[in-house]
Amino acid sequence: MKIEFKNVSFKYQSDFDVIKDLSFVINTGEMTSIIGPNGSGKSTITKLIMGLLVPNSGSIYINDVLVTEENILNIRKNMGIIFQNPDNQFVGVTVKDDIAFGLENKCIERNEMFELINKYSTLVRMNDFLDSNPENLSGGQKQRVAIAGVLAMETETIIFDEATSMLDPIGVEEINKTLKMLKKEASKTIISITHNIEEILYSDNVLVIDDGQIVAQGKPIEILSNIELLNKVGLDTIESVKLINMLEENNHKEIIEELWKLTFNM
Amino acid sequence: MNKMAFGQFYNSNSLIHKIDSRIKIIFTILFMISIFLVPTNNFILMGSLFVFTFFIVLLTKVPLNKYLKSLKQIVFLLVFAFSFQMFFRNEGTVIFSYNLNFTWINITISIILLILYILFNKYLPLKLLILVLLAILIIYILGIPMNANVINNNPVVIRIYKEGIISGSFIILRVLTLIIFTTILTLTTKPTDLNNGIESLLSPLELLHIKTSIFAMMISIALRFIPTLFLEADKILKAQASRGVDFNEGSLREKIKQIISLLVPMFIVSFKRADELAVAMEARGYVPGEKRTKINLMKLKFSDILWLILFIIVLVGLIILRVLI
Repeated sequence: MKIEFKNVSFKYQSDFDVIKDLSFVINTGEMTSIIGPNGSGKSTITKLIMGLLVPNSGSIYINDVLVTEENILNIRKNMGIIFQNPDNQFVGVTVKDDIAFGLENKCIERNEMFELINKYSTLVRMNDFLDSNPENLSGGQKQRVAIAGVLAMETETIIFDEATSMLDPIGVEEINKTLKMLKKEASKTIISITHNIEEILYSDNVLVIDDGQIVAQGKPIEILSNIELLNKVGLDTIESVKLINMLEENNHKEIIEELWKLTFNM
Repeated sequence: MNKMAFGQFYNSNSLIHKIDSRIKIIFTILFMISIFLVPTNNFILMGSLFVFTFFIVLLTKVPLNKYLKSLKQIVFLLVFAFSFQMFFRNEGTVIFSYNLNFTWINITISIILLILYILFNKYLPLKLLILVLLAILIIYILGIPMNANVINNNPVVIRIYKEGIISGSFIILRVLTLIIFTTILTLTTKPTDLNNGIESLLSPLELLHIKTSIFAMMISIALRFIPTLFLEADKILKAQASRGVDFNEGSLREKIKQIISLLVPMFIVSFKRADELAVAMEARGYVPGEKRTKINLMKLKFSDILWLILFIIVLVGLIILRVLI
């Protein structure tokens, strides 16, 4: 699914624009990470893509079709989103009911529903918990259920809106594994808003947003090695890049070459 | 923490648990009507309905103390209903009468007892029982003839009539049967099944363009979030306690302040949750009132029909009796 923003601006009730004249293209089958400090407008971008918010000016094209209020319900059927708080998106009383929620909305036959639920709960390794209640699950498990719920709808695009930020390291690891597998096995367009460096590393593209504008765009290597830029937007990078930087300042050329190779497996 | 489940549901997977929730709701209503159709003071009929109820209670395989728990909440109501019938009926045969002497001595002793009770109320176990005993004791003391100045020259006489006791007991039996039977429904049906059952029973209203599915979705989300909100409340309580709020002590005014310190964050958090949940539901394609398929299909079994017929027979039998008598 190709997603294109053309000069999009958006503001909430207040006077200042949260998104300022934003333009970018996300191509089909690519994984894009959107990074930036808190309050830079990252989540607003995902809500604009989902059509949950409407831009004040500019236009959004999905698969080269202009998004309007009439066609958004149809377009949305091809997109799924996983939010930050695992509790606030768990609609069903049990895991099974929650995965089924989206399927019920899509009016899918009951037998087919069970097949899909089985398939995708196995994929996120939650198939043993189908009858569990959310209060008996960990944050990571709940988030995996949310992923299964979105996967089961078999959408072309999946958006992760800081899906790992409220989880403990084990939960983050679980979600990262699932994400990697998705990228490898299913040719889905993935958009991920994240502060997690590992996640940024294996995406195809990185968009750096600050103050509602794109300040940089490129491959993960380019972005993560640009320490000046990352410092400006208040983000961290991987330890090895920091090390390389330190060595660079002290002119150790050969070691740097080797380290670059090691870091990005070139 | 996880034990903070809602409702009273007790899973013993009995015969009664397996009955379709819609049938259970319908036959509970039928039985309630039956109970009120029993002619007043007809102990044989009421007794047999009670025995019938008790038989179903045994079938549920739920420990009896679960039922006693729900009865505990209505003890006051039962005592009140019985006393009302016993003391305020004044026709028929007197089986017991009792003179109250309002002399200075009797009244002073009674007042001292009452003050003692109010002072030590906090430290007493079994408050209700002691209160009842106290009431009996005061009535007894008031009954002792004393040689002292009488305040009221017209002696007050408590008369208890046979009819009063009979109708009092009948009302107790009727309320007991009613409460036990409705408890069967809540003990043996999961809240979600109950909700699904109600939705399915109300679905004919869709023809009148009343969106029952929206209503059912609301209830089911409320059920889903009750444990989450309890956890939230617990967190806020602890957070406030760590800031020095003491929820157990203080005057009424302070208590109200403390409760506000719980309620305000609770409201804010709940609204935020509701907002995020609404967005999440919309993102997953939920359009209120639109047609959706359902994963939880309810299918009537043959045995369900038999249960329904049983209760229809009880009701019809009672209607025939009512007409004949």
